[in-house]
Amino acid sequence: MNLRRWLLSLCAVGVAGAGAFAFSNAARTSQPVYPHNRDIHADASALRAPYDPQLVQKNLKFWAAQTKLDSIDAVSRAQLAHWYLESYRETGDGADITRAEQAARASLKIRPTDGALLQLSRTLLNQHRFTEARHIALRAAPVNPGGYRLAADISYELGDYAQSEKYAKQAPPEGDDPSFYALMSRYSELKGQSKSQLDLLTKATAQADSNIDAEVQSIAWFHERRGRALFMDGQLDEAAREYERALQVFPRDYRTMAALARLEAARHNWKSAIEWGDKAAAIVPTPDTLALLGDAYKALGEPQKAAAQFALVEKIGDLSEAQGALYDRQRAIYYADHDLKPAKAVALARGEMKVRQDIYAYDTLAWTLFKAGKLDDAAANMQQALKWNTRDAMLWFHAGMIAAARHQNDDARRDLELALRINPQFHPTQPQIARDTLKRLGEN
Amino acid sequence: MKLFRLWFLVCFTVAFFALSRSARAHPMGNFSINHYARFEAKTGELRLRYILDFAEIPAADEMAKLDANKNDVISAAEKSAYLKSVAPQFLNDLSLEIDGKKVELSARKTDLEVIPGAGGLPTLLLKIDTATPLSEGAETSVVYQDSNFADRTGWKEILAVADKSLAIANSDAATKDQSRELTIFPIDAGVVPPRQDNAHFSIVAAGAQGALPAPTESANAQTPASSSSTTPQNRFTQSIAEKTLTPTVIIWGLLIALAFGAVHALAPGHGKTMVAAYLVGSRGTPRHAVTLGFIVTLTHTFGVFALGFALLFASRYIVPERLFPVLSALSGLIIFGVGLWLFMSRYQGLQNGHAHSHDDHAHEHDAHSHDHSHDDEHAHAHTHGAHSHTHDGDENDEAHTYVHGAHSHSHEGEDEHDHAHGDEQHEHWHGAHSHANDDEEHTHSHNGDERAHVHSAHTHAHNDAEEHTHSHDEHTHAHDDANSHGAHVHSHGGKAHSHAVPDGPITTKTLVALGVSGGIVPCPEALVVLLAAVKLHRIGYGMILIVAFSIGLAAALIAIGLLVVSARNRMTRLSALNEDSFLVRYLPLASAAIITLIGAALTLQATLGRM
Repeated sequence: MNLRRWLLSLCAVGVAGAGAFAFSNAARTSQPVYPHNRDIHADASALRAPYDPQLVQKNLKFWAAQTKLDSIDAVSRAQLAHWYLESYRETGDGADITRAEQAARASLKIRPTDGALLQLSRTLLNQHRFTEARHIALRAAPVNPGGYRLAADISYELGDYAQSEKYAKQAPPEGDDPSFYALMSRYSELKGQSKSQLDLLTKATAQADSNIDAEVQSIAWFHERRGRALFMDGQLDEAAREYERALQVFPRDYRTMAALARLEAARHNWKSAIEWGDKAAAIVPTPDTLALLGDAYKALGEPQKAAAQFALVEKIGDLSEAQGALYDRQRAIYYADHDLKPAKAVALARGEMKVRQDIYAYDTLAWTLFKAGKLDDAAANMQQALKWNTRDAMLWFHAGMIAAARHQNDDARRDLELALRINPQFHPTQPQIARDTLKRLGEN
Repeated sequence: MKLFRLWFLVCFTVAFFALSRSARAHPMGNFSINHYARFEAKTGELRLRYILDFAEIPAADEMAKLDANKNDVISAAEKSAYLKSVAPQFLNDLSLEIDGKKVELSARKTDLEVIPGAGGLPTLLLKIDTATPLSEGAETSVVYQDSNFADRTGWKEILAVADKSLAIANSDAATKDQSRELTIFPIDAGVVPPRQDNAHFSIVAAGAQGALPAPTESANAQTPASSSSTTPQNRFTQSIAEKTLTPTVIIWGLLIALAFGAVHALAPGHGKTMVAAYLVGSRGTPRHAVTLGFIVTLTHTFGVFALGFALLFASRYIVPERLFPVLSALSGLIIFGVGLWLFMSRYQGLQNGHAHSHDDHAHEHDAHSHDHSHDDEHAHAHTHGAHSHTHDGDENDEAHTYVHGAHSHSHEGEDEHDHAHGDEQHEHWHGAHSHANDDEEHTHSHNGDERAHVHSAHTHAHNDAEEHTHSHDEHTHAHDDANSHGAHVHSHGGKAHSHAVPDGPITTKTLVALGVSGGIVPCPEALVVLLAAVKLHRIGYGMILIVAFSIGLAAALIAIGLLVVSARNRMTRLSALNEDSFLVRYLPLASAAIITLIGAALTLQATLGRM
């Protein structure tokens, strides 16, 4: 008798048996998880419960306790992952994402299909693991159309715009769906259709506002998106109002606080910018917020405070290098804007390009190459960044400056004028640089 | 094996240097500020230990204040000045009310540790001790609020405990220290980081709390559930976090690690103990037991470092929580495979009966030779354990069968003698017996025709080194290990075989397989110690603790192995068991079956995630 064959066969039978048992067990517990009943109400804002700072923590504790009660409860683990993601939205704390991923994977171990796939995909997306995130989202898609929606978002982040639109079409909305409008607005933004973009975001915020069941964090997100679109369009007052609406429903929204800091800095309201920047940085000190604070202190004649903020940006850079590259794009832009470490900035931008190839990755590389004096490469990348005719003043400013450096004066004038026309206050300092450059070009 | 050793050395070296040179990111996030407040009610005073743990980014902010001369070196004077400056500010943002009256807190003692963190950045651990007088009373109510860095994320833990004369009641504070003063942070998703920035409780006389309302629901929720999913915390994991490392502390730490390793090996649910014990006990030698223990130590130590390495440097690609079940399943499968292998080979051996003739062939003993002549005429008696019988060499002594169960066949101190079986066909069965042949030369011959005898798992002890021959008619055969017919394999010109009812092979492969399966799944305690060591920058000490833990683990396995080997040897000499040949014959089979079942159970547990 061939003992080895016997052993191998028996091992295979054992493993297959265990797998079959696990699978059948998982199949038995498979139930739909997330109801989509949404109550639309005109006075939803009056009826909706206000923001509860303890809500996330309460839910985390509840679902964590549930997971301990039942070792094969996939739903509890998926819910735990969901609430860690919500916690991340409030804290920006990477530890929350790590735990969300753990919980989602634990859920999927019990029930490998649907359920926590979307949560897992979101955790990966937040870690900028785009390709993995899209793969997981697409695994969920056949059962949950939300998977296509998420895959569309991730594809957009990756710069795979055509594929993104295809995925979006595979998950048409059921009725008025603010998430769908928000996704559609991104394509309008990409293609420079500002009016369409704003219309879609207006519909999205209205729908979110009228939904009693919508989470305040989600509602705030729609308002922040609309505020950002208004800011890009040069409607700064309206943008500020939109940001404030976001903060009314979700007072801890550090992203909106940072957006307000940028807006106030663009208006040269430095003290207000510092106020909002400090609030945002107290929750999550991102490099762009810290850099903006540094610029604000510098503008107010407080070089020591400015230097302290810039030093922190450097520290975050050190940490990023030690741990991964979440902030490479922000750091690259920071270095380029402040005429620091041109070679380093280019290296960071090239690193970012390896992760995703969206228009802003091309823009970042072009801008850092320009600062490094590599004008032809900069122009080639800028062309890629502008190939969709996106109406972002910053992009056109960068294009104009590159063209000016290459002595393509007509192109430079056209691009810089367009930048100022789209939004004359798109940045605290760069509009003035654009005006100065135009003046110089006019003199020549 | 050479390749394995080389691979192991390379991995170990890489892990060692990587761990030595790098520090781990703060487990609560790089920009977290973690809070800890521990109230301890004592007779006459309420003590508060308040700790702030600044992760890399907030620490960088604080360093700007701390490093006054900006030389990147923190002097004692700078520490002192910083603490004098910030301690009152931090205390000012703590609100403490005792019996409704606000209490001014002042620092009794302060301390600051600058601990290197990720990316070459420091982290800070700031400690402030305060004490507030307590007046005599039946019940004292305490309300506490921490407003320091209220918006910043982090671990926020509040505890309230009392000494023996007092008790805590009506409390929403925790009673168990989850983070060991912010030195160990549970990394399991099932353990939600506390985010409590306020608490209330009452201080009452011990025994009086029975009359008061039970602790609130939230207080219960604060108490960590005693679940396997929580980060293990015990004297072993604590030993890495001792405040100062004196030689005494280190020696105690090592002893504790050894003890915990040993206890861990004996803990229920550890198939490795059973597997090792049964394998070694079934037919092994002390050398096998020691080898097995050594392999377990190496594998376990390596496993902890490898998983720690993955956790620290490759967590983006490898999720340790997913690796555990895989390793557990792998361990289970190895045990299952080895068990099945042993079972089948033993069962086969039992089925075959293994009778054969020694006609016309020769075998040799490596180190010696002896003669066993059975063709002599003189009669003699010899003792077989509890019974004796005589082979009188009579012509009538024909066609007989002698059954020698588990007996000892002693030739000690006897003069040279012959052991005659006449010329007739006969068969005798040596169950599991030993031939002790200390001093004297003797002969033992099989010269009859068509005789068959079976040596079942018995040993021939030839303790002397004297030359002697062992003749089976016209053949000689070689004893690999000089002594045992039960274990040795020899050839009579044809296929190699053993005289034993086979126990299954104790080979290097099976030893390595079982050793690896015993050590491959890193114990959570050891992993916690490794990670805490990295966080506390005590990597060298942490590694020594883990090695000590693994040695303790292995020592327990070796001890069990030696015990079972010894027990088995003794058992074979027990007269009571000599007659119970069934037990002796089927024990190896039973042990193999148990190993197989353990392997199957471990594999199923790991596969189904019900560990």
